[in-house]
Amino acid sequence: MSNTPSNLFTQHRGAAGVEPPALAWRRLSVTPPGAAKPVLSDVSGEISRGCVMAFVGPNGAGKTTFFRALVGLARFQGEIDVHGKPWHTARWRVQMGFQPPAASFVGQTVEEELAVAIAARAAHLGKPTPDKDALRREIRGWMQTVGLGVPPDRPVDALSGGEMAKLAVAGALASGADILLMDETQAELDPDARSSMRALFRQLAQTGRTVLLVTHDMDDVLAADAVTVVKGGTMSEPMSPRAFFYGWDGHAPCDDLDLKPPYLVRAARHIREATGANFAPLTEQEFVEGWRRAVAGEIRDRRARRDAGSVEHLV
Amino acid sequence: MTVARGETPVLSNISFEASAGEWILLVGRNGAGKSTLLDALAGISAPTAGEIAYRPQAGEGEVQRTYLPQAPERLLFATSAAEEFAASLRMPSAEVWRGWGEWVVPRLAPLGLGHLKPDDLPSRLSTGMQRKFVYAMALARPGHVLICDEPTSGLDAASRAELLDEIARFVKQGGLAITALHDLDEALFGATRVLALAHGRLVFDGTPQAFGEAAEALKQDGVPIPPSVRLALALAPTGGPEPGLYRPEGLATRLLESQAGCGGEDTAAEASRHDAQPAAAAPDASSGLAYAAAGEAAPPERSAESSASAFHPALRWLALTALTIAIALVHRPAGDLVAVIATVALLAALRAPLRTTLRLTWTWGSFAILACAVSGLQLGPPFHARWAFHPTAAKHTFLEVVPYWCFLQIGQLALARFSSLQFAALVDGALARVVPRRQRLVASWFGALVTRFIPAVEVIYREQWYAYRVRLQNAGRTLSTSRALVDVANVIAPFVIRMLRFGEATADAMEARRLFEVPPPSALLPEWRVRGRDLGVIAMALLSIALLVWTR
Repeated sequence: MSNTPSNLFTQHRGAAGVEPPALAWRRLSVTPPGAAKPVLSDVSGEISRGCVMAFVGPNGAGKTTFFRALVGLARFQGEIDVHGKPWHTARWRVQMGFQPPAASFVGQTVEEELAVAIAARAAHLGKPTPDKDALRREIRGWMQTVGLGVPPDRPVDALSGGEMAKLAVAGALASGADILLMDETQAELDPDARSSMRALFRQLAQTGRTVLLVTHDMDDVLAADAVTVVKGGTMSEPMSPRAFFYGWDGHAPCDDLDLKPPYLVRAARHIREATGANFAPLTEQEFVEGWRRAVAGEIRDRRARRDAGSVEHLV
Repeated sequence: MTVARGETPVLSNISFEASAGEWILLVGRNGAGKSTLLDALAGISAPTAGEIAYRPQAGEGEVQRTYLPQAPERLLFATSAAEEFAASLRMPSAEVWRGWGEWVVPRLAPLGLGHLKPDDLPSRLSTGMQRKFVYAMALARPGHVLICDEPTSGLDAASRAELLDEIARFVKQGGLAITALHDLDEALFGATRVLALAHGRLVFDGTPQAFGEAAEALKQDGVPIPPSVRLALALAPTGGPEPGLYRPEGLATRLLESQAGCGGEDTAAEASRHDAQPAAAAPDASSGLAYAAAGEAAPPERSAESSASAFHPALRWLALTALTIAIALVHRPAGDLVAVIATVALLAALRAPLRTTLRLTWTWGSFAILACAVSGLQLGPPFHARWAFHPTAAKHTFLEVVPYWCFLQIGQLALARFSSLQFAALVDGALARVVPRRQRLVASWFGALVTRFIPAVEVIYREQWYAYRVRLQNAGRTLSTSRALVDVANVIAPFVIRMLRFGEATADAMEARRLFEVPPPSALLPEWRVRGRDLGVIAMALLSIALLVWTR
């Protein structure tokens, strides 16, 4: 959790002017089959390339419906662009992780599952499937990309939860997708596996993939570049996790949703309240660094007592 | 106490005593043996050595245990909410109906299920809601000991807090709670004791406060450390408070207090920063290592070419199908003998796993005994004039049943060693010139799914059976053959529902991946060369067929 590098959200926002956003949706309304009224109505937004975006909100708010529309499992009105191209020509670049992951595997072994994904990419691009050696090499490459350290002929049913989640991500990447939709795929994993998935998403974002997460785990939000609140069929503007947890003018969006912030944020908030300092760490390292600087600042303050009324900026 | 699975011990030499009014947290990585320990404590599995004893308090009867394993939604019977409560509490469902508003809704409401009506079907709710329902039901009458495996997993924040409060209340009222938990930050403040497992051994037993203080050493042992303790651990070298367990406000207060005291520890802080960096890189490094180790263990040359799949799958399949048809057409004692000999020879030649063979034989055997008994027995009054047994009728039935043993075993040979991709590619190849592309792709992927899901179905069925045993035990009933026969719907119905949900997810995934437009890849499959061994198997099958026809 705490091992993520600094927040990349703002950086990528700056670059967004040059290339089209990875995903853009305008005036999107989605009515899932069987529903009387649209679950999402008239929402617009975009996500730039290389961004990890968390979607939070109560159950039934429309997060899953949004994802299902993006992969073609729910009919929608409005426009969706994938890397600046209309959705129906570029939809193969968007893939979704399903729950339970075991239900989405067609191959019987890790190797077979990835071979199916690679064949799917070749078919969608109209290219021939690579030969045996190239296929084997590519499969090993994808396994390395997601850090899946098992023999390639391991049956998929013998994988642990964390390994299955990684195989699902590898399969999506191998099938040519660079926009991944993860709908609570980490909920059933243990903390170690969850934090290694967070590290993986971080790493994928750095190599230009875009990751969309639906999550109830606030540590996932802490590690994301941006947070969007989905509530009652509408979507908020994306905000940074810092703004989401610490807010502005003493008002934090995460409190409106009745979400309990992670321990680190709660401890930091107490310090903020007590000192009035702008202390808003997102990682353990930031917490410790901010704290260290506070200690150093204290020494400086004691040396130069004259500016007693100055505002502290700890982070 | 020691628990072993097969030859490998999962837990070794665990001993502890606990009494009423304790809340024990069981901490450990996945695979450390937590669930195994809970299964044993709950009486679902027996330890291989040692014993688990529950002693009732003075003046009370037997110790009642309630066990909620992981994914507790499996425990539901797929009936109405009132029936579910009635089954758990062993009372008539009419009574549950009558008391619904009075005592059932107050149980459900705190977990956000207050809107449920007695005839609603809990198995139609979302997974999270189903879990909450199972917990509400268990907490309605938890008995003396409550054993939970990851109770907060998959729940939203509010329900998580509510559930932990409920457990705390149960403990305060004199219960004993044993909880395996990953999300420790909240529970550590309510629990009275922590047991940490690593590599199947008990490495820590003490209060939550002591657990926080010993975190550094426990981390070395491979015990997962919750974020709260980890933060305190990271702060300690920079002049923060001693590592331990603090509430967020407590930590903040201590940090603010200590700020004045420890000024000039810049060097220590610098050192800690360097410490923090390697720690941050550790998960990547370890996964890299794991990959390297696994890579060594399984050189890529070996993969997919295990000894059994080296047989030509298409020829094998054809031979087996022809033999099956031949056996089905011949009903003579001599023919049955040939069929059995041929099947045994094929089982040996294709190296069928002995366990599966024996299991199928056992299934067939119980069926055969039942069938022979039914046909041979004359029960006496009121059905017949007098009791009798007709050996000729039984023998006749037995001869009728023998071919089914061959079918079961041949089925095992035809399917078990076929990988799903092999099957898809085979169908695709076979239909290549006859069937239009679209229909052919649907047929081949359908074939792949069938072969892929035979093992998955078995896993789900086993899980459902396990859940049924847990549910029976929670209700204080014992498992018996007669009960299982009466209750068969309570195993089958939830099993079918779970299968359907699984199938739905599969259909969605195939649709989203648009697999029906993709020809199954054949590049990975072993080369289907006809070898001497294949010819041997074919010859064996042909010889058997010839013998079978001859006996006719």
